[in-house]
Amino acid sequence: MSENKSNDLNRRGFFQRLMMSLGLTASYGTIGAYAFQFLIPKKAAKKFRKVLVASLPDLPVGGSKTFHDLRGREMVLVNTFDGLRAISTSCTHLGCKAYYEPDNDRFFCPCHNGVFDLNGNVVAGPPPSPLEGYEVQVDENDNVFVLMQETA
Amino acid sequence: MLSLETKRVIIAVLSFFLLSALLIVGYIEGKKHIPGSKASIIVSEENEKCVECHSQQSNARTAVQQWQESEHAIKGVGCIECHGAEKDDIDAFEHYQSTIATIVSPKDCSRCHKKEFAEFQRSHHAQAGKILGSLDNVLAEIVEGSMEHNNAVAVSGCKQCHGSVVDFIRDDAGDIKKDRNGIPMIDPETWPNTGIGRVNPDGSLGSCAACHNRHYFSVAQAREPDDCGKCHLGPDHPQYEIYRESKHGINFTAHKDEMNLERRPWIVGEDYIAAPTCATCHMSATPNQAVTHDVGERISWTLRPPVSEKVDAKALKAGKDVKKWEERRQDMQDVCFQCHSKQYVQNFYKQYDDVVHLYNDKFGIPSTTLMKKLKSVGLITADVAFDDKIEWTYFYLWHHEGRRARMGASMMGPDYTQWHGMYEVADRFYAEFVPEIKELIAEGRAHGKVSAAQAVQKLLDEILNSSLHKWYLGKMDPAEKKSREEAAAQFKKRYAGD
Amino acid sequence: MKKLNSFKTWFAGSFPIDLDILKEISSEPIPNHLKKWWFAIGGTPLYLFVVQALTGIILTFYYVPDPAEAFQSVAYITTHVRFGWFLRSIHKWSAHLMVLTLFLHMMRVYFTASYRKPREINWMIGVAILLTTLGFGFTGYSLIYEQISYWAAVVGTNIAAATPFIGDILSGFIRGGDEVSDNTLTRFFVLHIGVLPTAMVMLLGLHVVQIRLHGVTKLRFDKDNSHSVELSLRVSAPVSPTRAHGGDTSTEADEEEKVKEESFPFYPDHFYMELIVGLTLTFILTILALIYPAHMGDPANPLVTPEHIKPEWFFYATFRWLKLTSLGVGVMGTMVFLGILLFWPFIDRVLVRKFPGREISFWLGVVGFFVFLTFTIWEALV
Repeated sequence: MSENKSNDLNRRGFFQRLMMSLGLTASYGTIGAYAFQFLIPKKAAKKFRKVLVASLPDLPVGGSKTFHDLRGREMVLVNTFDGLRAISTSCTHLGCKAYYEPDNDRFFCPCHNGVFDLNGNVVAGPPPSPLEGYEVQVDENDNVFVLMQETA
Repeated sequence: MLSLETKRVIIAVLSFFLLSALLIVGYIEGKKHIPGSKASIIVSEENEKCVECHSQQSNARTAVQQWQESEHAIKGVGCIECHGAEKDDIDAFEHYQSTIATIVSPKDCSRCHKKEFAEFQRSHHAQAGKILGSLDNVLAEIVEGSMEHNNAVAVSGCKQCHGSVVDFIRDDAGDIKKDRNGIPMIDPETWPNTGIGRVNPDGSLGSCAACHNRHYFSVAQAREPDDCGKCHLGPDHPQYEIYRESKHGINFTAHKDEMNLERRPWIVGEDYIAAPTCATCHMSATPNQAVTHDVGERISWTLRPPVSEKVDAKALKAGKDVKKWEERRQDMQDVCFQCHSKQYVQNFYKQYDDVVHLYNDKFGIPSTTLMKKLKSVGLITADVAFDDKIEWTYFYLWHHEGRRARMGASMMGPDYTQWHGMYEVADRFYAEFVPEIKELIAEGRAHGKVSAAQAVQKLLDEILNSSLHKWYLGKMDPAEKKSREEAAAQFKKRYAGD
Repeated sequence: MKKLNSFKTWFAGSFPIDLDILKEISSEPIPNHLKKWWFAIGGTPLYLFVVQALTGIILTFYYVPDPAEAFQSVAYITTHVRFGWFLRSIHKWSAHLMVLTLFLHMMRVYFTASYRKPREINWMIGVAILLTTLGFGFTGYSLIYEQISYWAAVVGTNIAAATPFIGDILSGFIRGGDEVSDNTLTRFFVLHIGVLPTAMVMLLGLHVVQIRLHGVTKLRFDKDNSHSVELSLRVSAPVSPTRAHGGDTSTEADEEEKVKEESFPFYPDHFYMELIVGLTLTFILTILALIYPAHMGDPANPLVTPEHIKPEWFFYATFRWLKLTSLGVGVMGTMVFLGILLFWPFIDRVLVRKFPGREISFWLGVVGFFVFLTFTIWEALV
């Protein structure tokens, strides 16, 4: 009889210790999790804004216009044979400026001779990825809008 | 001293409490709304040049600041997009390497807002500037006003709502004069002016800034009844006051903060439910209709003239193909149906139509016929307006009281329908107009215009002996007279104790 | 199994800790009167200090100690960062509670006359801890760079400047110049996260060491605490009962028995108690953070003096006192008070000798407490 009692006591003691440890881990662990989230900001979903950049009549095929996006980066709006493109001039290799060369239908970066086509794709040189581009929309009144990524 | 066992249990329980509190913290964190940061503005380099100077200068500073808070700025629409001009524009000038014009017309706005421009140009609003030759115009320029004083009454009064014809100060050769900065000088008789029917130098009609005040160009501001109230108020067309009296207006005032005035789209019954505004009924979107800038598209009666008729009547008579009044009424009722039942709406329209018909039949048509007769027989001058007293009386009757009564009925303002309306119409008619007709008849007889006097007398007798007016002659139907006296006695008995 | 053993041996080689001694130390007997709650009040500010250190370090990841950006960075934490509002509120409430429990602990120590021989130095270390904590409160409050914090710093440093003899040097040091300027915020920041924490850790270390060396006093206070139970670390020389008690002739065996019945083991009993206290404190802090979270006031504007400038509540009494007399006299008075506080064990000795049995210290303490309370409430109401 006493053995059963001591077994019960052992079980009860074990259960108590278990609940205690679980409780402490859960509560202080939650605080720790909150602190972790505090230190590491959440990656916010990208938001885009439609911004007027040019009027189509002012931009014949082959023409271009330089503008800045909401993060202050320089971009070029080009009216190519395949349509309008809004391309960043920030070379994806090491960040030098890639110049738009209308005569050669390309973007050229003089730092290490990186070459991009009018869609921003890498044609030659060390750049690892295409130049960043934004979507272009033209409304029924020939106003050209670029969908720029919002800052914070 | 607590045993170890008890302590362990306490720790477990306390951890549970702590965990619960922390879960509430987590829930609140999840619901947290991060306040939006001020949107950054990106405009072209040319625009940045404008902003740089004009944000320092005292007079343009506020314009720039207002623009910076506007939707235009966020969308990259800056100064040049609106003020930019072609070199051959009549009002263009060079300003720090940009070609611009001071006045921005609806045509300029149509660069982006083509649909609104088209609807507006064909609307009655755009025609508001063409009041030259109207009676009101006569009042403003001749009766009240003075051309020697640069037509001040019309310039500061009528035309500020109706719109001026913008013109420039010209030299003897007829060329536009420019000030020492090279800026074309605009005739002060014609500008500043944001009248809704303004005639612009580029030929387009109107001013978008009449409703969408610059430089905020806020759609929420344009939806406010106050906006329409700049012009649609006063003794001759108190639409604003009528609206504020009505239940619609009361609801708007009480629930304005829940109206989501800045929303796009702004659909009645979906984005707001508390009340219609002026815009709601006359322009704004419903689940079935898009927004329109042609404010006549939902109007069935024209309540403006001495005798009301359906809004398409004149155009149809002229052989033009316009939207039928029945269709317009249906479109208006579509707005009503977002909140009201069919029976409710149809009954209301019956009430409204009855008032308009009553006014027409009892006062509008008789008085107009009498005035025509007076002029045609020569008892009053036909070539000079407002030189005979009865012309003023008649003017008040249809232009002021008559309009008030009809408009009061159209927008559910009972006081404007009755005491500010039909009561004053009746007062004007019986206490002034009819006696003045009698005077003119007597005067005519005295001055030898006997046949003229007789003609008018005949017409007057016809009118006064009709069922609508014979009470005035004491010829009320005996049966009706009896029942009225009985009703009066009942009335006295019911309220005797008070 | 073999791998585990070789790992253990290798680890033990790096840290040659004798596990038996560890067990003995952790099962250290604790005097029974420590079961009474008010004796645990000393551990409370310690726990809250740890909370402050942890939350403080975490907040520093986002705080920018530049006058142009400080306010905005705190606002950013409060509104944008995940759980920023929560951790900042904990930091704020823990600060208030830490000062409050420190006051309570001080009162406990005072009214049990635990400052008497041989604990005079420990009392003075305690006063130093109090001043450090108040320094934390003062500097931390100003870091937010709201209107109230900026002007509190201005007033506080002006008061420091009114200290006789060393006023200019003192205020020059605190401000980093003749006026509150960009230097001031940098200094407050360095003090708050560098200098004061280091000083605090050292003081706390000494404080705890002293407690372990002397043991905890009993409730009823004697002339020289000769009946306190003595516990010793291995590091200190074992104090023989005869030497300490000045003539007690009981044997060592008796002493051991005494220890056993007058004490209870640190682990697990007292450890559990600490856990309970810790959990309760954390729970209270969480509730306070939920119901009264920290907000943002108006940003500091050196050109606009607010109508009422008030320090934090724990400075109310001092503030009220300073307003009653001229600044010079007020500051002098405060200095004198601090001096009395610091050297109280010695003053008490004199009092006990002069008025034996009258417990003057006790009554002076009661009077002092009520004066402090009155001044605090008075300032709060005005």
